[in-house]
Amino acid sequence: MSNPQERSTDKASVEVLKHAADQGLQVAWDRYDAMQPQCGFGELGICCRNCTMGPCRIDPFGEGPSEGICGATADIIAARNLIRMIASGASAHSDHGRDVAHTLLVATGGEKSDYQIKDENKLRALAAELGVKTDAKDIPAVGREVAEICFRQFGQQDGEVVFTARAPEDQRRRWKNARVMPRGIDREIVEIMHRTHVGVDNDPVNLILQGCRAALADGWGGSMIATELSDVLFRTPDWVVSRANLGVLDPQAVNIIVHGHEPTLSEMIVAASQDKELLQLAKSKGAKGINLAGICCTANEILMRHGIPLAGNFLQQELALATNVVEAMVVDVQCIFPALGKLTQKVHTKLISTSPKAKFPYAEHIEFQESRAYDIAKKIVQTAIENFPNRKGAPKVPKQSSPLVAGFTAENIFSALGGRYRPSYRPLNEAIISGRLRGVAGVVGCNNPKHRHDAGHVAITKELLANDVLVATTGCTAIADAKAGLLCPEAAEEFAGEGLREICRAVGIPPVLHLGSCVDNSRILVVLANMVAEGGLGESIADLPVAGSAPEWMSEKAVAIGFYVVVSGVYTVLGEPLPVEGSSQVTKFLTEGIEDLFGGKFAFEADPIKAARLMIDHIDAKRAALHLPGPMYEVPYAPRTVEAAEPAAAVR
Amino acid sequence: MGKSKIYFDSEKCLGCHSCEFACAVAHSVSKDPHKAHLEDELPIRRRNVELVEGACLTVGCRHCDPAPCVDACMAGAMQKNNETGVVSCNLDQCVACWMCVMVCPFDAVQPGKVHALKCDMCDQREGGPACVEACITGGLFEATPQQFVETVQARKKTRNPEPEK
Amino acid sequence: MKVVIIGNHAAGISAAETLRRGDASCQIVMISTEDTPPYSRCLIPMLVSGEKSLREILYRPATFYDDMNIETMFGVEAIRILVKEKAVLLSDGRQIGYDFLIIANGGTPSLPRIPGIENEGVFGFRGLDDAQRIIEYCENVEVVGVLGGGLVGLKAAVALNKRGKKVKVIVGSPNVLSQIIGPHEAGIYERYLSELGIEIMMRTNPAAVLGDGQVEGVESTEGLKIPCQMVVVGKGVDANRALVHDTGIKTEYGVVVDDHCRTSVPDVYAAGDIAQSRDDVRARLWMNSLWPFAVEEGRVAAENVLGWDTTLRPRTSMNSFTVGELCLITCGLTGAREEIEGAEEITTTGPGKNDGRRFVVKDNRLVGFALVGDVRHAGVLTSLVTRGVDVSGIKDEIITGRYSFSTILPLVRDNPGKFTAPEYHEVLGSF
Repeated sequence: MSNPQERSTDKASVEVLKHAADQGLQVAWDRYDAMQPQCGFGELGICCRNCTMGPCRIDPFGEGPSEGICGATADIIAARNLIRMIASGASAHSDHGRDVAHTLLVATGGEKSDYQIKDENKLRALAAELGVKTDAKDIPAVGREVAEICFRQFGQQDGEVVFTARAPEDQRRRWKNARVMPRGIDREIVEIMHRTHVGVDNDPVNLILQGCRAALADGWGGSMIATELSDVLFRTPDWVVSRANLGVLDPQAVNIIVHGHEPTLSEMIVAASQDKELLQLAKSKGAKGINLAGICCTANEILMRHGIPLAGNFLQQELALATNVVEAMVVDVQCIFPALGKLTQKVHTKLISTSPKAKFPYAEHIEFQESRAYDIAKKIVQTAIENFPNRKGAPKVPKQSSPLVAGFTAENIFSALGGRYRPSYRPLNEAIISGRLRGVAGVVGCNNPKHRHDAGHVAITKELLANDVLVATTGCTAIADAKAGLLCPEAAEEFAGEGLREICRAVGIPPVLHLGSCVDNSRILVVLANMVAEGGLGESIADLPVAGSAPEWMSEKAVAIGFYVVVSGVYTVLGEPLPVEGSSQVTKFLTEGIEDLFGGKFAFEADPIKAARLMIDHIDAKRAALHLPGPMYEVPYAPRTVEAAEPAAAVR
Repeated sequence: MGKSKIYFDSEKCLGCHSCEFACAVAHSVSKDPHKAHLEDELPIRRRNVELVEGACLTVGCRHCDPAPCVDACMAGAMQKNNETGVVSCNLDQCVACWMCVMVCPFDAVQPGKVHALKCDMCDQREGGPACVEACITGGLFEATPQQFVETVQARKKTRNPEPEK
Repeated sequence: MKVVIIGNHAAGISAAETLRRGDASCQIVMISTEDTPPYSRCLIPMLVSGEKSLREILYRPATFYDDMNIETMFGVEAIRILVKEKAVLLSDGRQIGYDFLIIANGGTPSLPRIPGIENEGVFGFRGLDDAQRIIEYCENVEVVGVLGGGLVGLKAAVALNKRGKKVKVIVGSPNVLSQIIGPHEAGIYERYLSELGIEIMMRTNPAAVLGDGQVEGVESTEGLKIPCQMVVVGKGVDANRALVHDTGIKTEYGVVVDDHCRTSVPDVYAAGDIAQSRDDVRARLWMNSLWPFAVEEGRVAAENVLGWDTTLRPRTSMNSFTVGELCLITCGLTGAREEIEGAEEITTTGPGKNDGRRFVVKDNRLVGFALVGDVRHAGVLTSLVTRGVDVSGIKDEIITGRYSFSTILPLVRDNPGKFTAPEYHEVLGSF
């Protein structure tokens, strides 16, 4: 697959891919081609390197070894490998949450700080929930206490991670029965690492249950803390209009791209990019201004809160540099290609790393410290401005950039749906009960060169919309859908079924709701809990007519998310299978048995239309179990091919 | 003919590249997997694992009869051993003219830094071909042409059994 | 049975070896003007350069003739085939009878018919005799003029340059190797050779060899006088057809043979540089004088003498030429010397500064290619050219350099009539 047309469905990406090839720049797809064929033992999850008696491989054809040297079978090996992925993914999300909690402490620490609490209401709501008395205290003190409670979740040894209290009673009961109620965020991850050491846990289901527990400590723990405290520090998002795709880059301005995940950095870059002195400096270099855009989740964070445009998603990170108009790419942690550094040797862009945890070859390291946040952010922006005169190489900024509406949260979804007069989840639940809405789906996750870029995200979303399923999205999927124009209210006219269209027209929302970054998948958990609490749709998240999907995922974070969503009771279809297919026991448990415990399970389906159909069928089954009528406007099943679901790259 | 060759079974190949690794080690100086990659002249494998229409396979030298590379060799370096059937390159004779590279239908001869490089069936190695030894699924196996034909027939029969009379 | 072979080089040796392996008792007589052990004529440049000794350029042991039980009649020329009598007339008057005859007497370097060509110090560059005389003569030679920018000329130039001589290559065409590559690829060679200190004079045709008994220089058609003390000619080889004059054995530029190496006369075969066989890309008879073809033809001729009905593989012109680290492999119609109507020529460069590729596609078939620098996987392309398969499905891969065997395996599977060697079957049997 090296024809640019075949690599991506996004026209802007295809254009820049060709431009990159003409310049002799290597991109992820080239490295993917060179890696073929990839090792089947790895893909099937049946190779183990956990000790040096190995490395061991199980022969799936039965001729070679069926056990590792310690005696581990394919089932044990696959389970161990899988939950280590959860450990890594949960660690990434949770460390992010830890950092945000730390920033809140810094903001409320009494010393002058560039960080302040920007959303008192959110803080008060959290304080109330956590039992922090607010009357006699000033806001910073409340903030400090909330931060400390959140911090404690990480080192807690026993009890329950506090936000699991938000889950419906049915979920909590199931978790306790299965012994997966998370005790402490770091503890569950450490226990994974312990259990997967040679000669500890050798029961595949027992191993997976610990993985489930750590995933819950992420979703209802680390990620949720990240989301909530980011809202406190930087403001709970509200509806915002912006644009997405490489067309947001401006050849006449200083272009800075933030890439990575933590808003503690990107928020400061946003502020610094508006600094009057720096704007003067930019103009003095001949630029018309400073143009900030983002890639991946940090992009989603500053989009949601400031309307900063989205340059692209995961697989576009090298393409952004290949345009030759980006002065600096500022990165912190997660999903950042080490290849970027090598790429900056050929283009004028500076790669600026900022986290002591994340250093990259050929990057200029300007270490970000919260105590001097704004000054360092200014220095970073200044470095970018000073790079403006160094442009070389033919510029190629595609004209594609799509308008979008984002900024949906658990708090404002209900006011979106109920209007100003009835802000509650009742209208959403009623819409589902009446059948005007068939159900709700979450389509989330990364890109992966094994799948045509953005094809799965857009195709599944469109198929769901056509069947009156309201779609919630986060992360790189949200960016894909944004580029395809699906985050506009007008998209309902073209892509939504009649029922969904009616709702979108009535309340002015797009048919696809962007809820934020990947840690903001925790917002989806809160929405689901609220839907159950509102009533009429069963007693459990597992009863709701909802389904989840990650069509093009690649990261270990996605594995953690998949698990916390499934274990919270949601049927989740993955476009890329979990690397466990070499173990029939593990595969069967994840796609069947796990449902008995938690009400949710996985399905692996690479074809997006088939995957959407699985989700729709599941939603219909849940409706039937609730004795709800069929959808108000039944859509006859007419499966389309993925090709028919091409994104209409809106060019305005 | 009773001479054995190396055959592949794409249904058993998982693309793990262990055969490539073992071949390189077998052609290193140290013959030691821990040391081979540290040698000044990195050993070069004679076999490649590739993707064809979704299937993994590794073809390797077919030790042809007649062998185009033997015909093409103007230094008399490429020779076929009539007893074992093995076609190998005598490195002392090879003058790096690449006629063999030009004519090999199976892309099994590589122009090395100094000499032509090709599979020699590990005829100096105790234990025989390293790649076959390294393959744990049976994706590579040694057989005589007769045995190979029988294996293929047998598989066809199990896939398409004769209808019951 | 008695088999007479005229010629003791690639074709003749190959024929003799095949006969003896197939029949332990047949009588094999080998006639040749050269009384030499089996040496590789292709390695003559290494003898001239001083890199190798005669013993080191033998490609069969010196005891080959005894080992194979061959009766040798060396140092004598076969001057006429007596077809009706089934005998060969030798220069010393003897007649050697045969049951089967394999003509493998090769060719002779052609010297341009210009004044002064008979001066002492003018040499061809083909066999051991040429090499030994060159080595002897060039003791006191400072400058050598090489006539011809083709493969032979360039090999001679490089060999003599290695030996320490100042070499000037006089080339009539606008670029070297004009018969097989275009100006772009040739440029890579010209630069490389210049770096070695070899002077290349393009668009220069020799009008006369200057000297009064001994070579003193070469004069061009433009009147330019190029001083040198030795001239080496690389301007083509004429097949030694004299011995088949008026015999009824069909000739054109060489002795015409079919796929079985049979001539137009029963029981008479031809192989090697004397033979003119079918070129499957040009779809006509062609002189494809190449070591691999000579060996194959000798083998096929002998196999047919033995009664095995074997044939030549599909073929076209091809060559592999290496100078130092610079490699060149060409095959088929490279668009160098003939305009190919309706053909598409695609050239690419890189990644290295000395890497270049040219592909010629006509009617969806790869009809020729030239690889400079990186010559890996050339054999895959050669099999596509010689078999004339439709490559439209893999054109992208070819142009971007991703042509390994796996690329063409589906084509092999889908064109069984063109890929008939049993080894293809065994590959498909697994796949």
